[in-house]
Amino acid sequence: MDLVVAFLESTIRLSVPLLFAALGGLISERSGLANVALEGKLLISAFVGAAVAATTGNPWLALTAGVLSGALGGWIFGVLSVFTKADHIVVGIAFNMLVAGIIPTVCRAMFGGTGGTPQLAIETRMPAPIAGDFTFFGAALLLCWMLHWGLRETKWGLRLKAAGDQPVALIVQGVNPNWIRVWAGALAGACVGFGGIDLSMVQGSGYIRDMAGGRGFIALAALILGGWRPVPTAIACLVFAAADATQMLLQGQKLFGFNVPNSLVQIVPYLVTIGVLALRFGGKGMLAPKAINQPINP
Amino acid sequence: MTRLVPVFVSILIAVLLTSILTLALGESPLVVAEVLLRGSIGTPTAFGYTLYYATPLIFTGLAVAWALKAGLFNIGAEGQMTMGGIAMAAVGIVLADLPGFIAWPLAVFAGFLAGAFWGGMVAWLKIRRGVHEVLGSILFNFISYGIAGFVILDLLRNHESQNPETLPIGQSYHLQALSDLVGIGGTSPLNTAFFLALAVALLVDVVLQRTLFGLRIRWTGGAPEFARRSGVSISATTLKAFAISGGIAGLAGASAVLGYMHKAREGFAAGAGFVGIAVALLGGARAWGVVAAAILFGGLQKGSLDLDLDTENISRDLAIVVQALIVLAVASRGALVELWLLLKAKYESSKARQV
Repeated sequence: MDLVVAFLESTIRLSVPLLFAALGGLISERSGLANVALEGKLLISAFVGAAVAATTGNPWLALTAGVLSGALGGWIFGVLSVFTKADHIVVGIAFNMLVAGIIPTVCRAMFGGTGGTPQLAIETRMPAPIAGDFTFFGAALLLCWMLHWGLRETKWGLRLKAAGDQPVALIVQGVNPNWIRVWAGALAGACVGFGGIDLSMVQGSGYIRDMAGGRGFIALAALILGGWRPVPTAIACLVFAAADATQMLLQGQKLFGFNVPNSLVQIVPYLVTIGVLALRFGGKGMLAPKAINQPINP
Repeated sequence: MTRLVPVFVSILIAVLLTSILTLALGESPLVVAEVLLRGSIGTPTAFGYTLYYATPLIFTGLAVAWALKAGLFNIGAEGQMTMGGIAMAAVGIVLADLPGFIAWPLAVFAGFLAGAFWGGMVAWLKIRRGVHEVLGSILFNFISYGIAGFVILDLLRNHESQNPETLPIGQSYHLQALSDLVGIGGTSPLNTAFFLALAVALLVDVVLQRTLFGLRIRWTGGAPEFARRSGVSISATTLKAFAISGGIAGLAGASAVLGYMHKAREGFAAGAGFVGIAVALLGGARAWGVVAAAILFGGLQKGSLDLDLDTENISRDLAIVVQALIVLAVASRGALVELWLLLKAKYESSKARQV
């Protein structure tokens, strides 16, 4: 029984960064901005949040700075992808590389080492009523519901979807779909920012080099698996988080009398991701936005 | 020559932006440039190291560039390289007593096969199950790290060593250091894998430019609809092209595993697969472009190692920043050309008004 509770708890905990990253990615991709840079944005916001907390000691300032840095990163990514008419995937990979290079560089200049920020004292992390009690998890579910509703019922949602599926319809209305994509990128970055803060200031106690560990890419897989729809995407995130929780429980355990090597156990979430993608549960309605990764000439 | 102008402009923009970052961190760009140049081409040994670092980048750059010709984005070169290197080490340990003339070619072939298998699976998932190759490659990268960790830390581990590394490979598998062989490269670990890389570059160029298979690949990438109507099977070409791309990346470990460490150490790929993407985007139009870009990036990597010691605030990670900026500049060259044409038109119309 204890095992079940521990499993559920760690599933919920591990799902938070995935949920924020995947739902953020959903905003961006529905607008036609293909987003392989989720990983980079998770890292930026995790680092900026922890760095601000370490220097100012104020977790609320750190939360704000982390989310804003995610939004700024998303905005820059959007501008670079949209207005240069470059391939969004190439820009995304370059963006991830840029982040992977800049964070250790800045980190060394600020804290004297490239490995990460100093350990955050307990009072400079997110305070317990926010960090505990699954508040971030609740916020992620709220975001999921808001997107589910907003994409159908609001002008904002319809325009977002039009920019991704039928940009011409917006041009006819006198709206520039390029700017919708850029701002969708920024909003996406802000959402991913909550995930980054969760990594470095709720689950962790400071920024550690490359701490996102591929979660940005798993979130992308969840988004594709969820057919670019909020609720199925959230479910896919929970499945992947459960796989990750299983992996953590299995570490150092004996299975049928054998010591399972940790290096093999660690690939379980990726195997599950590949397997689920290959089997493609979910059937119809799984198509990408029609004009994704296509430049627009208004 | 004019084809090279955008490349040089891209490098220039990257250098400018990096200088601004350097200034912002309180270091002089000139000092950084001096450290980079001294560390990469200052002495024969330094240049030997530059070429040693460039060797895996030539393989991975060729792999990515080859896939791009077929319209495929192989960002799994890191994983394919890891699998290839593990396969080479495994052959070299298990069959340690093979005679020299067959030993290292066998290991190289095993590396190619392992990389090709890893790439082929990504391509199969794309063709049969509709999993985009970018996502598939990324996930397979992570799986390959786990498998490599298992082989290096458990299966073939050298328990007498303090380091996370496998048992040593047989003597007959060693690729010779060029300093012993022809006396170049100072005391650097540069070895004959560099010539293997140049040979593969030549081969890639010949296949792409001179054979029917190369033509099919370029059609599939450049004009898929035309290729299909001409009777080319898109999915078969995709599978072959991606598997060969993976195989080329699988060879990239040869320089470190067979030529220098003589074993597989954890993390021997060291990001060469990802830098290969930048190499391919910068010089990927032709194979000699890949070689040139790989040497440039190899020098950048080697030179940046000294930044940790010779500057207060900057680390070797600056090399990654420069590489990322070059990729961004190359990717957005269409916009740069547009901007240039716009400025030119404005200038000419203002001149016309004055007359």
